Amino acid sequence: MKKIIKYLSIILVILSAACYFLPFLTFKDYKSINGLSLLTNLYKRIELEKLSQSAKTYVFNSNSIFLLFTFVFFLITFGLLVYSLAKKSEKALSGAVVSIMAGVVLYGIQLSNSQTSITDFFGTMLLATKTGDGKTIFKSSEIAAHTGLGARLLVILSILSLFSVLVFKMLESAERSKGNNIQTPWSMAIKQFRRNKLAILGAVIITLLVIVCFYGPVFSDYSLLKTDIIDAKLKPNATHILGTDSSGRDILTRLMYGGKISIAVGFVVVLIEILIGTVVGGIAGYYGGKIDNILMRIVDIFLSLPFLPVVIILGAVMSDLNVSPQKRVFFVMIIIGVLYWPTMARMVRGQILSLREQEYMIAAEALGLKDRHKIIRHLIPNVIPTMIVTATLEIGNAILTESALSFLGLGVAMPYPSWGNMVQAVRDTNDFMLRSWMWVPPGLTIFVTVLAINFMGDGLRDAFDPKMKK
Amino acid sequence: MWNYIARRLLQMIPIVIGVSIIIFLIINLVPGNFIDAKAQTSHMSQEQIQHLKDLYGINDPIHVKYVKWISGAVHGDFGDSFTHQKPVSKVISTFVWNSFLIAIIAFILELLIAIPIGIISATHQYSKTDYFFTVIALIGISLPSFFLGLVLIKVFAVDLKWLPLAGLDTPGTSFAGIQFLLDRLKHVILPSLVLAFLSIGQLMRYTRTSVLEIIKQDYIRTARAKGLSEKVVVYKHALRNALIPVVTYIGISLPSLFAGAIITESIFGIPGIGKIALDAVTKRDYPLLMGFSMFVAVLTLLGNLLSDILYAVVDPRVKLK
Repeated sequence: MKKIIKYLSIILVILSAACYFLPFLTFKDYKSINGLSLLTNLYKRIELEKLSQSAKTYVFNSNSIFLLFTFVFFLITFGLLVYSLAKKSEKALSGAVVSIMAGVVLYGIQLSNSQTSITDFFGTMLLATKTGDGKTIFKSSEIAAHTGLGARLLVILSILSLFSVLVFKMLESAERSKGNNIQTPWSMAIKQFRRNKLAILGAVIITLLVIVCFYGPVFSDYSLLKTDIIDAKLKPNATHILGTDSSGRDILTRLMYGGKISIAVGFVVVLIEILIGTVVGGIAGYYGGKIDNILMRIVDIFLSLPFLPVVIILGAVMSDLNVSPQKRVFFVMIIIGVLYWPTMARMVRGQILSLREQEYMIAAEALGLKDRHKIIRHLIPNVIPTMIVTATLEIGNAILTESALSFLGLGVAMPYPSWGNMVQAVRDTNDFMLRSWMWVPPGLTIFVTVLAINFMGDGLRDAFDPKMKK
Repeated sequence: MWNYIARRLLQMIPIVIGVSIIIFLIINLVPGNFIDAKAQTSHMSQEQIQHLKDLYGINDPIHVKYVKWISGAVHGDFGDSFTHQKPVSKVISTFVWNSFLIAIIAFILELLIAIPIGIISATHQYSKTDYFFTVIALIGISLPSFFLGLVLIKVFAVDLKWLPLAGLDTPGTSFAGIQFLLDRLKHVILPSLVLAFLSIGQLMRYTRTSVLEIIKQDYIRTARAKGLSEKVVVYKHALRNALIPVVTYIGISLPSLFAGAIITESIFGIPGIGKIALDAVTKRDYPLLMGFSMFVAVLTLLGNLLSDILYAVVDPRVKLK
């Protein structure tokens, strides 16, 4: 069994690297571009080979730096896997897991980097016209482009290979720990978490949603921003599985991009919250006294700010400052993150205050450990469980806040979708009453995502809390 | 006790000042001013514009502006709302009652539903009932308010036509007495349900945790050892202590009943303070927005104070210092 998975992982990694020889971009009337030429021609102009006489001259600028890194990581993974097979090296195997994860995640980042259409995953499409004096003028231009077989296969194969390497790694470590009955707090927490069916369900849903939202657009034949009035407000049908919106854009495609934006907002907000919250809370809790007093008054002020009104006013201020739709996403992340941190700061401070009084901290004091050492080795590891729980639940809250803000038209702005601003379709009374496919799916996805996150957070809280043991 | 309240009120002052500074700065991030905007549409001479600007203090440095605003605010004078052409405090006191109406109904529903299911969940920990209620509670926490509101309107007002679409009264009617009350009730039932459902989760989890904690204590074991029935143990001995945190939750919530629900009120077209605030955002009615934000901030602080006081009132073990 283990051997089969071992070889399967290697084959899958080789196959996903082989995808680079297949077409990544296909154009109407032109020869398609494969992955390797995207990599070798980074920041160069490649002229597209015409298939028909009447076609204009197009050049393609590749900027898929992430694609290059993905490729490199796949090669590294392959090397490490073979090495771990030959030498039975545990470290090489862990390296392979990390490297393949990095590869898959980078490919996802490359995809989410896209703003308008499939070509932007990989570069820019330019129309080259020769002027009278022999100069060439480049203009960005729209041309019907689709993701090729290679790019799509790469997503499937790389995710499959990631899973198979993970399974391999799990089998390996399960074998090693057989007969080894040492229970660490972490292994106990994992055990407890696994018993919680709701939490597992939540984790599975979140994983699926992230994969679909970040990697799904590769499989879509519709571009994100291109409008088509003739196809507007179509009912769900065979070509548009979830129908089209009021400008004729495919709703499923927008739902995936929107999810990417909403989920990314959730994660980045919590990242900001953790960064500011732990630093402020940690300093206040550890040093106490005057510093604590001042910092906690600032926290009090932020906690007394009326949250939703302030967020909405800031959203309106963004509109008044003419922030462009592309940049609004980042501002939304910063605004919500900056308003969220006090919760985390207060929690971290409370934890540290109670931990500081424990006997083992007195022992650390008596041993004459340095501050840095005490904080990093003894305080932080004990705060992390509570932090993970709070952070998980806050991701859900951040997604809810972002969706409400975007729904009111003050967050992520059209034409870029987020789940919240897609529900704005209800502003047209007829669409609201008669065309529910235009606004129900994004609302449902918000709900399902946040519910899954809450299931997970709830499970984590029980898992880390020794009092909750059955 | 009175000493404690007085000191807490004093401690609130710097926080209120901090909040007011932040709100003031955010609003003043906005470029341009309403005099220039007006000057573009109406014919005003340069002197008139200058005169108006001096009158409204638009060219003052920001700290002077702030001092002017805050010294008015201390006396309850937040300036005049642009859109309503009335003092801000007057606008708030007019519309706050509509918000309070749906909020209080929602609050009563919340208490009536959340506390019993919280207790049942705790006494039947890890049973099917417990899981069922936990999932319901988590669903309530996870629903976006606007989406729940829209779905309810679509189902009950558009498709089934049982309830009105929006507003507080049926337009064009002037009911009196019972008829008026019935009509009002039909209008407020959906928004109140939305508000209640969204908050049930939190209170239910709160009750559950607190009952669980109490049930594990020694005095409960003693009560059981005496041979008391489970009913008496839970409802007579455990509940009294278990409900103490719940009482503090009620204390926090009471003032916020006046704060308005921006999204729910807007979806249901309820002319409450939340909807007025959202309209003020779209119309850039800054005096009203600043007044409203300060109003909500003070309500939050009062909620915290009230919950601490209630805690001391219901739990004799707590001594306020």
